[in-house]
Amino acid sequence: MHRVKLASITCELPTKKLANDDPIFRHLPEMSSRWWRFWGIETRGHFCPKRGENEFSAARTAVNRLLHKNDTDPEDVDLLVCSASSPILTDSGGTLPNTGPRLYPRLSRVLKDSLNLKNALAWDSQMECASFLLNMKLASCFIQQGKIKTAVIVCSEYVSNILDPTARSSTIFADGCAAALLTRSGDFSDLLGSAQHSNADHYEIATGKWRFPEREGVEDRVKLYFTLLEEGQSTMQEFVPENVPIAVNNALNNAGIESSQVDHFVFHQPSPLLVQAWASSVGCPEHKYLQTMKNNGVMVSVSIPYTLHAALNTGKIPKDGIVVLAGASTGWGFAAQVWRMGNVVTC
Amino acid sequence: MNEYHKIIQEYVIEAAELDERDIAPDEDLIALGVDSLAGLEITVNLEKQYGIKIPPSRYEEMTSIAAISAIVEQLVAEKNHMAELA
Repeated sequence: MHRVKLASITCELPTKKLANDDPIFRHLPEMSSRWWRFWGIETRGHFCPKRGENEFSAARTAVNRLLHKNDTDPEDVDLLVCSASSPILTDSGGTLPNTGPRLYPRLSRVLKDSLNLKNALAWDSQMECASFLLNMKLASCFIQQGKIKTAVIVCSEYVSNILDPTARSSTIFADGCAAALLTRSGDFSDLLGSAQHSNADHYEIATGKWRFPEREGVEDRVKLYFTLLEEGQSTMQEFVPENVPIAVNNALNNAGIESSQVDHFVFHQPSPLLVQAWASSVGCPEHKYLQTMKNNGVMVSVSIPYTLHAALNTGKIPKDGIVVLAGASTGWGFAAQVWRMGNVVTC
Repeated sequence: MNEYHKIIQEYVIEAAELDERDIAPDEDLIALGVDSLAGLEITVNLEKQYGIKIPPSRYEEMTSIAAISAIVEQLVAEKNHMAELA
């Protein structure tokens, strides 16, 4: 078995940020202070198509930067794994004859063509908010088993494209992209342990559905919209707070590491309350984790890598530090990983 | 009203967005509109305030201020006992 290293990570966020009083939210029903307090979001970014921003352009920019900053030749990339939670992809960067919105081919195919990653095995995965963890695990398995040396994983979320502007849930989510370079490790860094489990008992509370807008004010036609059931927010509290800690504790057990030995925890960023509940349950003190949802919203699968990027940039993670990554995804899935970090290039 | 009641009452009123008033210690919080969402907020605030961890297995017991107070009192005592042993 080889060791695997998170060699580099980068993020590409929208240039446009929307505050809670932005006109885009004028069609919403009256919002309670409880709603805003629970989600803890003050601004979030939406890609601006007029500026050429979308899931593809962000991914291309991010991967280009990643390869350039790490002196990695595109031909040396053995594996490319991409995720995009919006089923609708909007741009192929000219790699496909039809430039309109599409369901497939997915992001990995057009990114591979666009960036000339001609030796990369490329595919797309989907675990919504936990896709970054899934992709890290998949790429790590290939590297640890000696099948490849270099992998690029990408999470690119153009989720604003499927938000119902008349639904309260449209205030939660945000766009963004993250890309990471994983390589065979030549030092102490490695994925020490991981765990994931799923439970579909509450599958229906947060889904993507073809439906009419919830309220009047926008074009009254059936579209694909993210859909959070009225009781979904409270139902989530019955199982999400305890399941992420279960995944964390299983991953720590698999790694043979105690919670107190962990230098930093990176949680998915759905709500300050949920993050605090997770942290408290796994013995993580306040100074060992960051919250990034206030200024960025919930960037679906980008929240974890963005928060990791922020932790690395602010010196929260020592060079040989032990880091736990953990989160939940709709459906529902729960995942956690324990990494020993090496020198990670943030760009 | 013991030392925890007042703080728990404040957290309950804030989390469930109730009008300011005295809540009887044994009043049913679910009937007052305290759902699992408000419950999470109350729990997180109590854990932060007292440096304790309320196990998820005890959430179902948290149906009144008196019941919550008893749980907090027990966990604080356990925490103090552990600190003395250390």
